Amino acid sequence: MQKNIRNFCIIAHIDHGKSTLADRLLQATGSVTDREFHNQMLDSMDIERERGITIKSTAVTMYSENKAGEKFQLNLIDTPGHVDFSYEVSRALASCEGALLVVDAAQGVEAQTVANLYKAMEEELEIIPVVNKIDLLSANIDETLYEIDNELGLDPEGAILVSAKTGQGIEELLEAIMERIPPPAGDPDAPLRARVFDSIFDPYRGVIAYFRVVDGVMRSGQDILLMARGNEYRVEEIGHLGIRREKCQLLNNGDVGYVIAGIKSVSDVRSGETITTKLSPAKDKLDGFAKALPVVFSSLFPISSEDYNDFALAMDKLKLNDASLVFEKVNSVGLGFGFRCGFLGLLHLEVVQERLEREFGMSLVLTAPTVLYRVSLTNGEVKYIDNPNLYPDPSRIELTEEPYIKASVIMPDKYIGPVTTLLLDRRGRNYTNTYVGARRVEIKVDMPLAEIVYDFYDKLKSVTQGYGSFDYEASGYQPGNLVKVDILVNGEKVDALSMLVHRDRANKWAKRACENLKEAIPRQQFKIPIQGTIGGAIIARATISALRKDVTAKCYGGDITRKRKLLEKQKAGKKRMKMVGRVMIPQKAFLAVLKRD
Amino acid sequence: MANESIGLYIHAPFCVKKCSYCAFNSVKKPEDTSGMCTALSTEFIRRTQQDSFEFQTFYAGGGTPTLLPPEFWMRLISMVQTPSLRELTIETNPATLDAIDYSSLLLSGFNRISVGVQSFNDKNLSLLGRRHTAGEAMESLKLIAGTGFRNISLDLMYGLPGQTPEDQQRDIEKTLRFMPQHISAYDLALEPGTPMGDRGEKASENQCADMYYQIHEMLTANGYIHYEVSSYALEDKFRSLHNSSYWNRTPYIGIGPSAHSFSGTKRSWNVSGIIEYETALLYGELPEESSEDLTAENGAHEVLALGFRNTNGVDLGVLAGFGFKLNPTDILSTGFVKQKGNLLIPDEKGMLFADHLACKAAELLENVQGFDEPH
Repeated sequence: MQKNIRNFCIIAHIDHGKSTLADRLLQATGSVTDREFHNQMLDSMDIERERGITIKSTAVTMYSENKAGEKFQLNLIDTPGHVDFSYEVSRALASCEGALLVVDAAQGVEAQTVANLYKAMEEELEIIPVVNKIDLLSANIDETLYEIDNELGLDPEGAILVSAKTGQGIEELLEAIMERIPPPAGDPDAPLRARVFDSIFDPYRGVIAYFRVVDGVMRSGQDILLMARGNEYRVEEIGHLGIRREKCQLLNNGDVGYVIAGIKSVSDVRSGETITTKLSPAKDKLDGFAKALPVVFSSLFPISSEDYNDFALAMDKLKLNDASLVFEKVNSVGLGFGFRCGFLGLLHLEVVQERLEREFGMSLVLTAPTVLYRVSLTNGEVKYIDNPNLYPDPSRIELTEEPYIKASVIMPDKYIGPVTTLLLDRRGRNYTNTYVGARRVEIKVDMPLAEIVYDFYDKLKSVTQGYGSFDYEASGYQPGNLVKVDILVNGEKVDALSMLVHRDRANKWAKRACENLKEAIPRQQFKIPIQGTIGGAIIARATISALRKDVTAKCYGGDITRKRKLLEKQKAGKKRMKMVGRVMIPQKAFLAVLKRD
Repeated sequence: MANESIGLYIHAPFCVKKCSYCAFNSVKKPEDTSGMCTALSTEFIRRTQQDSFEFQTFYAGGGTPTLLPPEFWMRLISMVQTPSLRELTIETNPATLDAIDYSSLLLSGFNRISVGVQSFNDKNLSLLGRRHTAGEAMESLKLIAGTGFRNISLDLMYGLPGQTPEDQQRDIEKTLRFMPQHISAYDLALEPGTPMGDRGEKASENQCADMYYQIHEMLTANGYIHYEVSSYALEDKFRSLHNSSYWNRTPYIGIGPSAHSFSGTKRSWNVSGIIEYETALLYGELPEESSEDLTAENGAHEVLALGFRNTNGVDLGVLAGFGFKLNPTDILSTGFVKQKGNLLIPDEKGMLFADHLACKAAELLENVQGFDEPH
């Protein structure tokens, strides 16, 4: 029954307890038995569990009764928390009528939360503020309620106080979801329109698309049409998303569910796609979602060149599951064949790398991540450059522009000093400071995207002892005085180490890169010069001294086991090194050029 | 395992005082060592009663094995005595205070003596925490030779903090006055948990390498054969048979706390605590802490880890026996390894890079597992 369906999502800053709250709702509604239960129920990837993050959206259907004994179907649409995946949030919001806005009672309101709240408000969702972690000694409920009122402009009267950890307040929260979130609108008699909000690839079933029925009804066995793509499929199976998939014959308007229809790749059924029936198609498709564009680029190479074919296969398989991953084949002088890849952000890059290594057993070298530069040539042509090695000869360049962001950093005011220093170091300009709470300040600043690509978030966390939060949006291109710095190892240019750097900082940057590489590359039996150059002119150098000896003086009966294990460890370690010319370069060295300390 | 060549190592875990660099298992000598002597004899009996072993070498190490009474060694050697036994070594320290009765060692059956001189420089000896002076070391060496030992090994150390090549040269010159049959010259290893290791005191890598080559030059010029990273023999017959058996993977039985044993396919090791060790044997148990069965790959890795350390080299035939093929081109191209038939033999520079060569070779190992060429 449409009027007894509640579709909602949870908006929360990372670490504010979203996954724990979802776990508790699942238990309170009996959707999962104690025997089946484990933490972070909705995060199915190893990486998600280990890092405590959500990468893919998913949905789960729960059933509950209100005080009057009326039965409700509650569809929780789970969304990623990290800024890299914020486009996922919009998709989830578009499929809901309500949102639980979770605020940590000890941490208060965070920037990311505010940004997502605005998105939820744009979608006209019913917002239920939830103050979580009230069991903590450091919880400051009054201050949090004050912030909800003053910073978010929400009625603190309506806030539900819970502890997702202990389960306190969960019953009240369920009641509020059923009571306050409106039932789905939509016309049950209109032609089918269902909006896809995510899809996964299952090696046995093909693509499983998650969607919300907006109008009409979807039936098992019917022929469907993907309106944006224009492809037709026969529905093999539809159902609700419980903790496991629950097959059914029919999904009504307002329902959230999955469909399996012989779709080969997640790229064929992008998020935002509208599903209708082939026989009586809807006239107009639903509003889609903006396609997420890659912002960070890096080349990936197999450590052993012979593994290229396996790597290519792995990339194709990964693409089945990750529509936001874009890549094309590249050839590097030193590193052989690989792929130039575009990522949504650095976390996305790390996730892809980890999945390739873990799920596909690849050993990879990643080049320093870079952004997409816009270069206007003297002949009037405009080129987008995502690879420093394709940077045109400076004599042909009229103007180079780099992508900028509007960044917002919110932190307790005592960290203004170190945060300002950090932002200055990252070429931030046009500061504004505003107090957004009793002792909380928001700094807004324009920055080149390139400056946050590597380790910015870690640095921010470290200078604010974890209290700083960060969000950004793209703000277009601005001219940048950039030069290409090349790195020579043992006299040979390693194209994978080349970087585009702001001219004023090129010397300092090259010096640091050389020093970092000196630390990262193990000594070998010959002296290895490392040089930073611009257009052939050497601007920095460091030398790795020759290894004179590599042996232990003694090896008797009791030493042999230890010696063998050490050898086996080194052998495994070398699998993570790439031979460039005569020099073994470890995987970590390719990112070491970016290290700032 | 009967009738195969095998070594025997006895670990005497006591010292008067521990040296500043030493990470071997040893404790201050107790008043009464009879408990340990009984335990060592018991373990020997337990480990050898099932089979008849043809021991080729007997090595009394430590600790300071001369802190156990000569009668103990005599008894133990008489229990071991087989016609195959060729080399019986005991380690000694040249501190005259210890008043070692060298002739009783000879009478016990030892035919080789290893003297822990380490240096002929009093400053360096005290830095190392040794209890003897250079003068005492020279006295001891004379005494030992006078007693009738015809196979004397002298231990030297170099790479000490502040030590110059000139210091080392003087040490070598003084060593050469005695022309011992065997010299072990060790580059000081900093072991964590030792006073010197924790202070991180050592000569620079460059100085250590220079000293390695200096000692190689001086000793080979005087007729010594440099047959292992740290080992020199005056003639082939004076190579340490016992130590070589570690490097060519001959089986050995280790008796005593923390001693390791090797059966040919399995390595095992004893508990290191003195009380634990003695108690286990009192209760009729073997004092073994743990063991590890070696896979074929483990075996091949051992061959590499050990082979480049000495001039017997790595035997490609032995690797093949483990099911591994090694294309030696990259190893030979380093210029400090030569191929002779199936053997890859390092020169003195190769031995100084033994770990590097082992790692490189380990990467090149190809598992052929009884199949023909994979391609």
